[in-house]
Amino acid sequence: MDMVQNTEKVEVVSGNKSAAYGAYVCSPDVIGIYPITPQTSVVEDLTQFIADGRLDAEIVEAEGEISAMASVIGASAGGARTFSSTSSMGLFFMFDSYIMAPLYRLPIVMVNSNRELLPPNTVACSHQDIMEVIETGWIHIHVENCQEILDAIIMAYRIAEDPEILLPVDVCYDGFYLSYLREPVNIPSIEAVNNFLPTQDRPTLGGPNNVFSCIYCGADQEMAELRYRQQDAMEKSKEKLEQVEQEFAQHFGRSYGGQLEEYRMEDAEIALFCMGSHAGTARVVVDQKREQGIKVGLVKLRMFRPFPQERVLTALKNVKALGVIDRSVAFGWKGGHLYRELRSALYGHGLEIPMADYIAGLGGHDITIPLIERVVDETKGIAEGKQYQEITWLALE
Amino acid sequence: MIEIRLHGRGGQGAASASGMLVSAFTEEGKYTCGFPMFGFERRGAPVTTFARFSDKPITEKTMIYTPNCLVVLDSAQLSFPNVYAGFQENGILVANSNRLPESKPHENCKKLGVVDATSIAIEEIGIAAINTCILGAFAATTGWLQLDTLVNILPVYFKGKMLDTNMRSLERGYHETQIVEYE
Amino acid sequence: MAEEKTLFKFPKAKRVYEQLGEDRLSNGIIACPGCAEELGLRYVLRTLGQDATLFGIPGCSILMYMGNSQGSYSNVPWFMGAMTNIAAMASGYSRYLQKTKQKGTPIVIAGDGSASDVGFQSLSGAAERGEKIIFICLDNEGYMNTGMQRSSSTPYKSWTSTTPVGEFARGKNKEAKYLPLLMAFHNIAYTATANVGFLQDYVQKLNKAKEAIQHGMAYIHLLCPCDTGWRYPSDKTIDISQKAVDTNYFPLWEAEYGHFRMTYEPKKVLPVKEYISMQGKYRHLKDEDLEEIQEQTDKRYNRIKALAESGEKQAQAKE
Repeated sequence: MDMVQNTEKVEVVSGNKSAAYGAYVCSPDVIGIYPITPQTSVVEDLTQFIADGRLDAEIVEAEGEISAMASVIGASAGGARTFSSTSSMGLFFMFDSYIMAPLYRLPIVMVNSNRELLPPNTVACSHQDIMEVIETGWIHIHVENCQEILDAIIMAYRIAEDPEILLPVDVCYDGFYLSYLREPVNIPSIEAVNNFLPTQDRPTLGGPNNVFSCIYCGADQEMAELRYRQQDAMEKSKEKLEQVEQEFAQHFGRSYGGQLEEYRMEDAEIALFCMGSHAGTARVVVDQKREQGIKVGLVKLRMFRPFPQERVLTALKNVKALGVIDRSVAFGWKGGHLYRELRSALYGHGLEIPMADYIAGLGGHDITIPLIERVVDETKGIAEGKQYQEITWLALE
Repeated sequence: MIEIRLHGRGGQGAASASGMLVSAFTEEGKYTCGFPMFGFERRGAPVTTFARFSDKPITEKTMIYTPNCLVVLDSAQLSFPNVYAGFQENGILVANSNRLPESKPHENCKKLGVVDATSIAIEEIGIAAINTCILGAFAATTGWLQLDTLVNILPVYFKGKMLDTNMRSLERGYHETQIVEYE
Repeated sequence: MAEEKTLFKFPKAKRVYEQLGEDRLSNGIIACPGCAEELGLRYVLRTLGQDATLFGIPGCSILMYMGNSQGSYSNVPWFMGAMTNIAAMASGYSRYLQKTKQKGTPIVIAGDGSASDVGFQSLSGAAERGEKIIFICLDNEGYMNTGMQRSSSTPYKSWTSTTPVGEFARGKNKEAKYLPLLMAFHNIAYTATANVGFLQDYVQKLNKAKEAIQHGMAYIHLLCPCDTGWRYPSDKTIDISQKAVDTNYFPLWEAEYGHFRMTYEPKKVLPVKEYISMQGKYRHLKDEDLEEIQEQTDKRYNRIKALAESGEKQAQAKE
């Protein structure tokens, strides 16, 4: 085994190790981290990289997530490239720090292994944790497989550190379904990543000789300006992701569609809409249904924040009905988060497609091929004008 | 696509067995993935893990409901009906047991490979970490993997003395498996 | 007192002014008249300001160097964190300085509310990891910036707006958490208590702290009488500070990796009543309350003294 990643290689790794490799090839200066299932082995792998002398980084093995994130905020404010990682309850314990990173416009990159909340006692997969923090100003990118975890982390640094953006990015992958999934992953060389991610001349906010203080801002125009600029940067990050993906494809030969991926959507009459690991299962269902002559496609959302409204409108413009698969519950609103976002993105913007929401996969409940087949069949019924139920809880049927 | 489901207990190495299968199929140029499905990690608890391989890309991220092959690391579970749930016709069963079953273990079972992996592992490694031995039996029974491939990938998972002992356990598993074909 | 034996030597100047640098804090800042925090902060910057980066939290202290929308009140870099996480924030910054071999002194300025209550986990974690930061706790015995609420550092029987005096209650009914001792027991490189009534001692300790963070963490617990919250005339801050030491209510000591040493001892110890009676927040106290406080004060002092004496004995035994 070569100790330093000098050449590209294919290694069979878990999603967690792929995340650790993603951080590793980007050469972060400071890592702040704390273990929690199902992301614990990210912490183990990164500390092992350092113990083996493969990674030259300072690692803050914090006493809790709040300090893990705070330490990378302090480091990032000083000009460091930083990395962190958490999941579920850890994300909420981190929240006091998490919320500060985008407000300070710090280019932090972290991963979240999507997991259920307590109680009841569970560590299984769902999107409930990350959906609770969608409006914090972080850029959220959801991925489908182990290779995409690693690639998304590399791209995340490019977006975060772009002078026009300067916002933190959270790369979200499903706990268990991806965190422990072992797949062959192509790990690029550090040199190749350095060529893609310039370490020189990247914007730094401060340092010992550089005052990075911000003065008190009351209920004044300045506050509105700060918030406006932050919102503006979020808007710009959508286009930035598309550009970065194109460049990434030139460097590494892989791409994922930018803000969202359209799968067999060219002539699709109905569509599935989902994000995360089960998008991979939905592909299989789309292929099967296509063989049966049903013109169905899949829109896999990758960027949840900012929400890619323009791309969604374009992707769905010819669709007659839509089946949405949600892996989280927007409490107090009848459906899930994806469904809610889609309604506000489409309705009132010239695309009032009839759609049904399917809440599935809570607590690690398997989103199986037959379940997704049912979503396709019912969505086909909607397109044919049949009566339908707006919200369906798949595990309860 | 071939789907393999492994049934074991915490501590036997079912999770890393699925990882080693993925490494071996990768080495042989197949598309492959594998994952464990467990909750809180506890030694002795039943563990189910999965592996898939194919000539085409694999995108599904579900558990395996209709396995082509069952690998039973824990002999006690050979009599559990839920172990055979969804077992496909012409299925292959690889089992850790110290004796051949008197009758066909399941109606869909076409081929059976039995190895006394616990005894071999205790003799060679000193503990009942039977996953390398059962992988040898898997290669011998199914023919889906070359023994050499497993030999090649083992250094990724073991170092030093553990590599030597597991290597012997793997090779004995391959050579000492009793294979039965049913009509 | 025995000859000084310390790991972190810093030559003792005859006069405190000989150790001071440029005053980096503007005049006319928004502290109350008589504020001990202002004096404490000014001396931090005059002693360590040259390559310091301050890490502050919402509270009185940050308002003193943050400035208003016209500009900053100080000419040192500073960064604001939350009360819950400031020790970790400074740690991350310190780690980056180490990684890139840059010089700098990360200094956390936080109140007792952050240090002993809501940010205690973060502080304790940083201490356990031996982060190379100076943490200065400005102890004004409560949440003074938000209007004198109770913290775990609020002393026994003290009035605050959340430990009020009424028919059924006479101030706080629990003793204060004695944070400096807890920090010293983390075995960090340097722990000290200080007081603006003893500026030379304070400046000496700041200099030692700077040397100590070459090795690990330094923690300074600065008693900051608050004329607004403690209810005394604003010209009495220094008097009260000195009385706190002269009554053994707030002993001055330091500890290097858990080896304790008294740095000042009053020639004549005064009864604690002389310190308590100066403050309006104790106005409701009865004689039996004073007796209890005297007992608590003696107990605390004796504990520290015993630790210091055992340290001296160990040092002598080694020779």
